[in-house]
Amino acid sequence: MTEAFLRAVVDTLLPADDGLPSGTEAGVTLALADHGRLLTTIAMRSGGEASFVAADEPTRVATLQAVAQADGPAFERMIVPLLADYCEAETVLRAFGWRSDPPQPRGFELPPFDETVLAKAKQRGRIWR
Amino acid sequence: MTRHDAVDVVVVGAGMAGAAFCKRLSERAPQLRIVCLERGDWVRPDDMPATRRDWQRAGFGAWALSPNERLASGAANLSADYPIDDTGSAIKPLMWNGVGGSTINWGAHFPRLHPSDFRTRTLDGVGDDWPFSYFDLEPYYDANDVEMGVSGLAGDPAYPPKPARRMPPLPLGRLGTTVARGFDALGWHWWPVDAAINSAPYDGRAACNHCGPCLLGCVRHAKASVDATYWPKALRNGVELRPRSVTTEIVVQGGRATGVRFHDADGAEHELPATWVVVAGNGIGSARLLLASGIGGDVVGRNLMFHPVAGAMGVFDAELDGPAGPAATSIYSHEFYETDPSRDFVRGVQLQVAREVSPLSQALGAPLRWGRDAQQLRRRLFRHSAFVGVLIEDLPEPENRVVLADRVEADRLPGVRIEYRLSADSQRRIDFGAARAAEVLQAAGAALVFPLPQIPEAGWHLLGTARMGSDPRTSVTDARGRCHDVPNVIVADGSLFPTCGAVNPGSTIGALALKVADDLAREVIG
Repeated sequence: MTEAFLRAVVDTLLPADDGLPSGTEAGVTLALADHGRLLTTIAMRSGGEASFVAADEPTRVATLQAVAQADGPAFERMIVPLLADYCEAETVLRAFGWRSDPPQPRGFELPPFDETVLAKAKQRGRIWR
Repeated sequence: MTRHDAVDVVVVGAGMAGAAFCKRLSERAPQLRIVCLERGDWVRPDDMPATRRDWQRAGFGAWALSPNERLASGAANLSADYPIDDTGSAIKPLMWNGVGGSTINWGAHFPRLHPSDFRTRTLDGVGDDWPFSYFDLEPYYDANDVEMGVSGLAGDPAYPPKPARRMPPLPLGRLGTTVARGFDALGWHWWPVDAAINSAPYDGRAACNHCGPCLLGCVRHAKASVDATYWPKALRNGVELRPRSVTTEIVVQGGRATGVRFHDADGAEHELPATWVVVAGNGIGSARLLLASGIGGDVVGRNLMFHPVAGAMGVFDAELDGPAGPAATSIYSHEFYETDPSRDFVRGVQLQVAREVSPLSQALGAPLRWGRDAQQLRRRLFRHSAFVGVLIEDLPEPENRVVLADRVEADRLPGVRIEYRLSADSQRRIDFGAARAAEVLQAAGAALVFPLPQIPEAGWHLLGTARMGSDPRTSVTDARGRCHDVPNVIVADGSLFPTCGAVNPGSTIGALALKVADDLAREVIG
C-alpha cells in the first residue's frame, strides 16, 4: 500500500481542525500488518488507493462510514489504537493546552478547599431519616 | 496435596473486607493464628502507569476496570482475573483481584449509608431491614475512617453528626466550585465528599498531589488502599498473608467447615485445616466460592445489587480543570436520597460530581470517534466539561444473581455467570436522577448538556449475594456473618448487605468487616 493512501486514511479519521493537528502531523501511523484486510477493503470501495487519496473529504468520509458499517469490529480495532497514539502525542496534548509529561510525579496544583463556598449549603437543616 | 497444620482462622480474600477483618481480629484476639489466602499478588507502584507516557491507554489494557476487558486485552494480568460471563447482565461487573482488592483501583469516594438504609422495610415497605442499625455500626465506621484516613468536613446535614474528619476536604477546583454554584442556585443540598484520599500527609502516607487517574492505582499511596493501610499493621500483628493462593473449596464435614483447599502460584495443591473460615471475596468472589463449596443453599448468589449509574455531561464556556484532581471525589448531593412521597418511586439517588477524564477516555467515550466533527467535539469538551453522575439505590431481587457455569476455569473453580436485569423501579430512579443531573448542570451555567442514560460499564459495587438475616429461606448468614447452614463459615464483606442504599459501599464494607471481627473475637475471648 502506498504511503499516500495510508496517510489519507489517517488524516480522514483525524483531520487537523481548530488547532488540533491531523493524525499524521501528530506522528500517528497505521500498522499495515494489523489492519491490512480493512485497508484493502477501503481501497477497493474507493476504486483504488489513488482514488481514495484524490477524493474530497466528504467522499473519503462516506467510504470510511460504509466500511465501518460493514465491518464494525475491525474498524473498531483500527480506531482504538489510532486514538491512543493520537491522544498520547505530545503535539496533541499541547494543542489541547495540556502538558505532555505523565501525571506523576509532578501532579497538579489545585487551590486548597475554601470553606466559604459552603455558606449556603450550611444553612440546610437535617435531611436524613 | 500438602496438608498443613491447623490454624485458627483462614480468611479468603485480601481486599477491603479481608484486610480490615484481619487487622482487627489480630488486635482483639492476638493469640489466634490467622492466615489470609489471596488469589492475586501485591501491586507495586512500579506496576502502575501514572508515571509513564502511555498511562492513558493503560486504562484500556492492564488497568481496564473490567476483568473481562483486562483479559481480552492480553496485557499483563496484574489482577488475578477470571472470566465472568456477563452477557446476561445489564451491568458489567468491575473488580480488582489482588492484595488490596478493588481499593487498588477505586475512586475512594467514602460515604456512609444513611440510618434509613438500615430500615427500608420498616420505613418504605421495600427491601429488608438490616439486623442492626446505623448507630450500631457507627463506632465501626469511625474506626474504619481512622484506619483509612478521611478527608472531608463534619457538619453535613445529610448525616447524623460525624467526628471531625482527620484532614480537610480535597480541593474542589474550578469544576467542583462551578457545579456547586448550580446546586446553590437550585437550593439543593451539596457537600464536599468524604474521601479516603489524603489532603495532607496521614499515617505515614503522602498527601495527594492531584495527579488525576486514581483508577490506575496511586503511586503515592495518598489514596487509601488496604495494601497500604490495614495490611502493614495486620502483618505486624502476626497475620500470615499468602498471595497467589487460589482457594477452590471450603471443606465441609458434618455441617462444619474443617478448612479450605487452595493451590499456590506453582499450581501445587494444599489443604489448610482451620477452626473458622472467613470469606471476603465480595459479591462475586464470595458467592462463587460458597456455591462451589455447596454452602448457603439456594439463597447464595441471589439478590445481587450493583448500584446502576447514569448521569449528565455539561459543557461550559469557561475553562475548567481538565483531568486534574482525584477523579471521583469532589462534591456530592443527597438532596434526593430519601424517599419522597411525591415521586413515583421509593428510596432515592445520589448525585456525584466527577472530575474530567483523560483525552483518550473522552475520545473513546464520545458518541463520535473519528472525523472532523469528532475532532471539534474533542476540542470543545477538553477542559470544559463536567460530569454529574447518578448512583441509584438498587433493591434486592432474587432473580438478580451470580450462578456457576458448567465449565471449570483455569483457576480450577467453576466458571461464573451474572444474571441481572434492571427493574422498572430502578429505571424510574435512573430517569429521575439523570434529569436532576442535567438540571444542576444547566443551573451551573453549562452551555450544552448531554444526558447519559444508564451506563452498563459501571458495576463497581458487588453486593448482597450472601445477605444477612434471620430466616435461612431468605438469607445466608445471621447478623454476625455466620452461615446458617455451616456456622463456622463467616462472610465478612459486601455480600452481606441486605440492601445497599445509594452510596458507594467501601466505607460500609470496612466497618462491617470490623464488626464481624469483633463478633468473632468476643466469642473466642469469651
